[in-house]
Amino acid sequence: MKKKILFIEDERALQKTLGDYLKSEGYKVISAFDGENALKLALSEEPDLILLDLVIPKITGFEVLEKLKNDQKTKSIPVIVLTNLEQPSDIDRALALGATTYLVKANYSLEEVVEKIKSFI
Amino acid sequence: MDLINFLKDLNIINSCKRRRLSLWQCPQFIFLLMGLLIIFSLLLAYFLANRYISDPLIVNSLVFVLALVLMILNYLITNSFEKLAEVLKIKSDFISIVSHQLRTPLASLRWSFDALDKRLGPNLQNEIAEYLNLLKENVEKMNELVASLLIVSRIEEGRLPSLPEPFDLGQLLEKVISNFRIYAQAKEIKIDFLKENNLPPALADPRQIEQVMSNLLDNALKYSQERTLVQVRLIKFGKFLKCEVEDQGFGINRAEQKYLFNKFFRGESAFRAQTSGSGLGLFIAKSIVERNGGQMGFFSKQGAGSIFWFTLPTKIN
Repeated sequence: MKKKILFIEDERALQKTLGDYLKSEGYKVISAFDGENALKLALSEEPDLILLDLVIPKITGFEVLEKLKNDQKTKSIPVIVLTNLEQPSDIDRALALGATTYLVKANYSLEEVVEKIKSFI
Repeated sequence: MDLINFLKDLNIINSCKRRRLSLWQCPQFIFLLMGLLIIFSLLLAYFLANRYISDPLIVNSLVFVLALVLMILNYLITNSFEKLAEVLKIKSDFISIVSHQLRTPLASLRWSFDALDKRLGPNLQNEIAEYLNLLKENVEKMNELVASLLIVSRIEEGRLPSLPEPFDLGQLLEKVISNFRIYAQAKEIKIDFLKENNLPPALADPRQIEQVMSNLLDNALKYSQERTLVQVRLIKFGKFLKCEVEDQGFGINRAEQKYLFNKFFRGESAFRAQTSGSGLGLFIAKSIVERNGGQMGFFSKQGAGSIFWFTLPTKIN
């Protein structure tokens, strides 16, 4: 049974590059391009891991994270924040809300990001 | 020499031109004008009142007119300061917004190249692989530049907190030096590292100090000729640790030395040696060192080389 990753990211190029890479590593990738759809998919698909961008349409990544961690059905799913916000206040806020780890996209190559993801799934 | 520099600083017209401000928006000019006007008016009022005016009403009117003129000048000064402050804020916001907006497409580009490399890498013809590498290298350069701009905007907005912790500065320097070995070997530059024994731990933000050291070493290698020596020294300096990076490079001419830590400043000698460079590395390095409780400076002689140094507090402080 393939492990499922919910990838919440509104940038098409990042969805394509990282999504395809993860698929080639044997994961099932479910894509969400906004916060509202992301929450629906998190409940219906029950993924093994969630990759979450913080700057997304409709509902912000912080709100999505808060809702995921307050819902019995999704609270135990590890959430990796994958964003370009790198202010210490943003990092502290996401970790306080229950993010498993916090990665700044611009600081990692595709391969490095995948390696990090693998260590949590 | 210092007197000449002092006199040059007094050249208000040049100084206003450099800031791209008209004379009536330039605080230095308006201050000077106001000072001269006050002195002249006081002397004139004294002279007139003494010699020709016996009626106190006329003297009072004279003082009133003078106060009015000074008030108008004050208003102009306040306005020009507001304008300067507004320009500074707009510039800082601009850097911050542009850098943030550039980060996402840059990450997309970088990951797209990574994906291409992974999928097609082994099957690519040499020529295409070479172009792909060039594209990747340039995306990397843009990424570094945007990262530097973001740091500058955070420094200016006071949003670059340092998280001091005790750490082995010698070990950190060794790590940074080893990161630069390949680059140094390409120019056949030897990097020596000398350090005193039994040094106390430094008390600063190690990630930020890594950036400082990287900037200094990058400069030392960039502005050195091939087959020269770069020496890094670490010593105890009172209650501080002092690190020096000495190169045998092109050096900096005297006229440019006082601007060296200004942001976006690139000296003529630096530009001749290396056309690429943002002029942000030393500004960032100095700001970080000072925020971590240390100091930074340099000695340089054109044609002979430079020594850049910085100090950091130790845990025993």
